[in-house]
Amino acid sequence: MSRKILLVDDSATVLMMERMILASERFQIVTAANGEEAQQRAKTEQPDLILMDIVMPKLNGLQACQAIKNDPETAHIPIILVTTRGEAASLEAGYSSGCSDYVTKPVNSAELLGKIRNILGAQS
Amino acid sequence: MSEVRRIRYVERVREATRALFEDLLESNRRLGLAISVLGKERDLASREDVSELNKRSERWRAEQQGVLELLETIDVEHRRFEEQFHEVERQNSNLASLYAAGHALHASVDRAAVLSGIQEIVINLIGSEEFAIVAADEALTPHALFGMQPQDLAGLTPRSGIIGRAANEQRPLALMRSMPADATGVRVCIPLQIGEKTQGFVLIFSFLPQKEDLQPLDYELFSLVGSQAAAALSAAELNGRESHAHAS
Repeated sequence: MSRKILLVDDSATVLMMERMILASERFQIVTAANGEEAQQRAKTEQPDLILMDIVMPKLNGLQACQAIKNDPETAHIPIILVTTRGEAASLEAGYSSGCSDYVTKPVNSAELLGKIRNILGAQS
Repeated sequence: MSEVRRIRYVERVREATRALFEDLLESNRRLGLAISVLGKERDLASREDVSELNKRSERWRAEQQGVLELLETIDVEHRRFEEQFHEVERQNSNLASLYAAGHALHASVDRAAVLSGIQEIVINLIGSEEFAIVAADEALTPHALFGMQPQDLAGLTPRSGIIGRAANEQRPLALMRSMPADATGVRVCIPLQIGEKTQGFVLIFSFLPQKEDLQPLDYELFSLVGSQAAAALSAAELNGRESHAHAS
């Protein structure tokens, strides 16, 4: 059974690029354009993993990550945050919000696929 | 006993003892021969065993060597396939980025959407948060600024430093991370071309701190933006004028 990944980004360009990178792994992809929508889709879709940008309208990635982790229905879902800033403070904020890992922009496909495989491999 | 009888008895005993002694000598000689023959046979047999064992050991060693060589070949092949796999994955990712960039430029004929598409490419695919999209006029009038103020462009003209060189050569120019920027502060200048005409520039002033030096994909993206963005902006402007004309 293919694993389901929820991609969250307000940029259609990024969503398209991530979808194409992940297509080689036959993941089932669902998308959301902001943090609020991500929270709802995480509940209804129950993805195996969420890949979420930090800078987004409505609810940003850190807030959405916290909300998803605080909800018992979605707390188990691992989250990879996509951040423009790779400094320690940004990463600390990401980990405090409950994310499992992070990648920095511009996204390196090998690094992203490696982290996704690690998390999904550890899950199974 | 008479003397004669005693002497005969001694003679008989002596005779019997000599015969017994000779028999013993003969038996001893035969035993010696038998031991010698058995010893030779044993030596021969053990030599044959060792030789057979040696032959088998050599055969196993040769087989083991063959298996080791096979494993090494498999390992080399495995590494080659792994490298090919990563190369294909990298190319797939590059194509995904280029496709997404092309889509970002041409998905709309709305000027704001095209400018937003250029911004998305520069922020998310190239990795910069300090850049300007400007017209090719004397003042380099900004169409869009990201992480910058209009005064940051003060004093820049289409002939300044790297901007002038890129405009002359009609191709994107970029400085490696290790190279200092010239007086303009611009690290990448992408002339937005329609044919031979330069319509504007994308000026990148810095990259995200975690971005490593420029990669081949970055140059592909500069080239794609340079050759496609101006056409997309012109189409959007024509569409805007047409819509305005219809409305009035």
